[in-house]
Amino acid sequence: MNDLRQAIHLIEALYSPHPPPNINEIQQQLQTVQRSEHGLELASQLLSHEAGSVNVEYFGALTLAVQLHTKTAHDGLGDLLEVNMLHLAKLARLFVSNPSQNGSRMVVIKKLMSNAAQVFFRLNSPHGTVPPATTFTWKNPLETFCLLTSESSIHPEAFHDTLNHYLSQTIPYDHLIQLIGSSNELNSLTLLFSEVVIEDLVKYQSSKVGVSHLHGVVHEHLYITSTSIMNYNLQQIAISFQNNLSQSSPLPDNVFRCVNAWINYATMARSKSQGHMDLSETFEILIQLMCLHDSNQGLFPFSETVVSILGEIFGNDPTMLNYELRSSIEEILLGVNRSSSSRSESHQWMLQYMNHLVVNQMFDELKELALCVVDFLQISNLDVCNKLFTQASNNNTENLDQYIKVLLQMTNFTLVPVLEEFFSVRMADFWLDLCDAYNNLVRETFKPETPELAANLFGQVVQIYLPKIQLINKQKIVQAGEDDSLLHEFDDFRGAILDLIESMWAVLGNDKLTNVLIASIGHLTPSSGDDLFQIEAMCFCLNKLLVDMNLSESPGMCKTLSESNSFLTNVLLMIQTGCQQKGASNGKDAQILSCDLVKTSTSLLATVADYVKKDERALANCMDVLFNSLESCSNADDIDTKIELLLTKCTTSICETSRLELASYLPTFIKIQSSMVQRSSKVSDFTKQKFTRCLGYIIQNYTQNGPEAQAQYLAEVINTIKAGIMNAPDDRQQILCLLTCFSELGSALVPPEDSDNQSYLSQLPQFQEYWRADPPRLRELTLNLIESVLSRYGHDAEFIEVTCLIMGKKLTLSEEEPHFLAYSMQELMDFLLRRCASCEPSTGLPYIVYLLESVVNRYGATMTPQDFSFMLSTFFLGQHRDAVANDPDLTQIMITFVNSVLETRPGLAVHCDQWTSFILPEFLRFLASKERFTISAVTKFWTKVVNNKKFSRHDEVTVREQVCALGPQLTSQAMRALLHAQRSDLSYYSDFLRALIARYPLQSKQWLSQALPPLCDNNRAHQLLVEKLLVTRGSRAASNAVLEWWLNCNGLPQLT
Amino acid sequence: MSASGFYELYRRSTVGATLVDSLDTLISDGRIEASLAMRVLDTFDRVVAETLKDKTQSKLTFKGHLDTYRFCDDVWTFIIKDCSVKLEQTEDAQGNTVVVDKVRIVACNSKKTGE
Repeated sequence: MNDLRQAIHLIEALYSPHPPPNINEIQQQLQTVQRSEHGLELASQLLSHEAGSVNVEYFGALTLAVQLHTKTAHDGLGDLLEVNMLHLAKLARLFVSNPSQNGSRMVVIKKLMSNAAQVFFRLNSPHGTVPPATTFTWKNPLETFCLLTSESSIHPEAFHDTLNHYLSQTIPYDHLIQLIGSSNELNSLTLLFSEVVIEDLVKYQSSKVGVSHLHGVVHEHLYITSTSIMNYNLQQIAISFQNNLSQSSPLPDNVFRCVNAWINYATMARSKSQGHMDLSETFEILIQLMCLHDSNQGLFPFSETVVSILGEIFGNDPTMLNYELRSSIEEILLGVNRSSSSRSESHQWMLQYMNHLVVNQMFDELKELALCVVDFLQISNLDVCNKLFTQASNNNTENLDQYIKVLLQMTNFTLVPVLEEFFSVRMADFWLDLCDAYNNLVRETFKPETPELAANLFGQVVQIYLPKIQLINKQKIVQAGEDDSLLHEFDDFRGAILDLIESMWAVLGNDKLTNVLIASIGHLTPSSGDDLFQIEAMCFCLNKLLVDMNLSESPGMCKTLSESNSFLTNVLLMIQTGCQQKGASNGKDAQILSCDLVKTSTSLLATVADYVKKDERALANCMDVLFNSLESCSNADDIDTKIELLLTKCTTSICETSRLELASYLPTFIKIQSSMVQRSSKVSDFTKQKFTRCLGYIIQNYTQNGPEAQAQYLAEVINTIKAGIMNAPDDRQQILCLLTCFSELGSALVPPEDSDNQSYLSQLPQFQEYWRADPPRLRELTLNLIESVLSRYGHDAEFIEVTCLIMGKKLTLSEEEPHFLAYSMQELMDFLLRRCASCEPSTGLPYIVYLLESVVNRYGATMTPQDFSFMLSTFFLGQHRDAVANDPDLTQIMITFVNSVLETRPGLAVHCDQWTSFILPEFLRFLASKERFTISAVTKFWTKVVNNKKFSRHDEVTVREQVCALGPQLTSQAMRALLHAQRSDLSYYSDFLRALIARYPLQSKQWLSQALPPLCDNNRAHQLLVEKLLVTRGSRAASNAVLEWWLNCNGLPQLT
Repeated sequence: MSASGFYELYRRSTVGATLVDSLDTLISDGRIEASLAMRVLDTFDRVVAETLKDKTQSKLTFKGHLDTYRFCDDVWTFIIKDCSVKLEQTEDAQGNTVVVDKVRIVACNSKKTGE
């Protein structure tokens, strides 16, 4: 670049609103100069250029920043600071003299301030070993700035001496206040500089270590100057308001921004340095400002800003405020003090401010206030708990009672939660913490009246929250047309109340909570939507309490439920109302609420299924309502589909629980299922499948008339499914759904673990014999049906999946347990071989191998190494060999299959034909794989090979000999792979190395010593690794040793 | 805790480990300096912590057998066996319960030390 004019031309082109096509080229050209040794000169010229635009000046300031970052040592730092401060002082003086004309230069001033801050950090950082020739100290940039800017004139030629003089000069407090008081502009620039320095310091310290010296310098100098300026300004703001002076200047914003920056810094610095930067005086004035108001005009000029600042402190670092300040805030916010009985006048501000926010519907500001108040309350939660409930408190509890009364009133704020008020939402956390703290108290510390007091207090909290969580409030949110995030927030609020209710149960017990809710639900006769919402809120909470109770073992609770007259009627009414209202024609709000009604009621119904099954009429009512409601669903829209799903889940739960009691419904269920699975049915596939499962539950328990009767019903269902499949040979989705229904039927026929069906247990031998012989030939029927479907869809992975599931149903049961799908090993293997021959390996083979693994787990005891050899060669090394070799997922499946055998009967693998010819050499090669799943599986394989407790003596001898022979190669391959592996894969290899060294300590040392040197020239690291691994037993220590070696050899930093 | 005041524990999550792997590659290829990688990870620590705090709405509940618990250096560790995890507010309401053999929960204080 030849001259300044050319540089300016390029800069203007760079910042032009319509940049030229060669913008990248220009950028690179300019960057080269910025980084070059002429950078400082260019910056100085650009900043001095008389006719230069703001863009040119800014680029000059930017060039100084680039120069600063490219200089790693302190050489030239003084020159750089000199140029920077000269232009900063010049531009600041221009701004002070004529702010309106020079306002656009603020961006340049800010950049120069940031540069000055960086120099200040560098000079005061511990690594700043400044060469003697350039030694100078700079402790207070703010004062230097004030002095330079207030100079009457600055001569560039004399600036070196002026700066050197001011760098070490301090300003007495009075003089400082006089300086900033003399000009609003200088004042605002000083505040800005303080803000920039301190914000940059927060960023700067995150990338450096050991900056406590810098914090110390800031504490001793900058902190004192800045707090003086901030406090002076805050006081001036208060005086101006009180004297009714104009507040049109932007100064309050500048001051608050600066205060915020200092609070953030002081919070961070507390954990990083020794000293504590006390901002109490600033907080005191801030609190005064918060309370300033003009009630006649309804003016609260600073309240919102200060509330937000205080809220941030309470949320992050409440101990920044000392005890006295917290006490005074407590009096302001709550009107009472936990510790003294004095009543505070300052609370009037709080009442008037809340009133102002409510009347003017300033809900965002109200939310801010709620966050601040509740975060403040959380600080003293434990103290409140102790004072309220333990003997530790003094006798005068009047003020504490008053305190609690205020908290209850605040919780019971009379607006719509989430939409309009946030107090009740945030107070849920407070009450939960208080309740948990109460539950954790030692009973011996209680006062005599404590249990009653606690029950009374938390009982009131429940009474406040029940109306708050009613769906009527959700309806108001929907009607207000707010976005979905508020709805989610309301749902979160309801969820938080459930946690609260659960915690309160420990205090209130069934007598004062569960039973009261049940009775209240049962005594209501709903005549309006509001009544139903009331019932819904109680059901919503009750479900949370009952879901963990086993009602079949709680006769007392069942008695309470049966005594509550309309309990079940009301729950069913909610389902019916929800289903009636779910149509889109009723509007969005009705649709959303109907979904909630159905969700709450079906969940509760499923929870009380153990109670329902004891009452024949109640069960009949429930089934009628559920069937009728299901019939009303047609998958018209998302809500309709969701409601159908909820109803199906509830029906499934009830059928599973009441399988014995529903026996008389079997013919009805079969009819419904038959019509449901027709192609013309509008019911979703999920419902078809789950309903078939329900039917299966009842058939499973239908044992009183012997296996023949059960088989007859089974045959009926299977024939329905078969007919459905035969009638729609081209409808892939329908056939797949019907096969899934079949699979669900098979699952339902697996008896539950805790079955107490005496009739079945007494007839067990008959059932075993019956299903072994299978007179109705259901197994054959099923297999033929599956084969006929697969003759067409054999390549389709989804069909392979579902048919494998059907074929393997019995494999989860023990040998003696009867099941209609009990196929022999031969039948299963024949099925698998047929699938293997025709499948698309990448999608179908995983399902086939999954079933194969189950077969091996089940029949492993009767298998020989030759059988295993046959499986390996057929499923992996036959026609699919290439696919398995090329597809990492299939490779992993093959290795996992071998691993599963090594975990159950390792002898099958160790003595098979392919062990030495294929498995060992190929799996050795897989160690160098780049695929995480392959690495994970193959390192596990080698770990199992070197250390396997399931090995027989014979296996152990064979494997030991093989590992000793392979050792050098194995170690070399593993270490090479490890060196080139990604950091996140290292742990897989270190687990293997740990096992190898534990089992072969002498040999492995030698193998490692041979394997490591050829990998890279870093003998010290190799030696350290071997030494550490040999003395290490823990997994973490081994991982650390491996990581250290890997970082060392790859020249990478620690990072994690 | 990293120098920026945020926990480094999310670096071991899948997304964090993948980021570290990528940064390793960039450093090895000479495309970035190690100091920049550290800055990136500092930013990652901050952004993950803030995002999880501010932008998440999903909740889950779990039930299982508490096998091990400890509280060391302000970090709680719970190991829960035979755990069923119920995901709330998922779009897929069909199968929202996940059963796992073992869950490890590592919980750190979200507030600063000394509070």
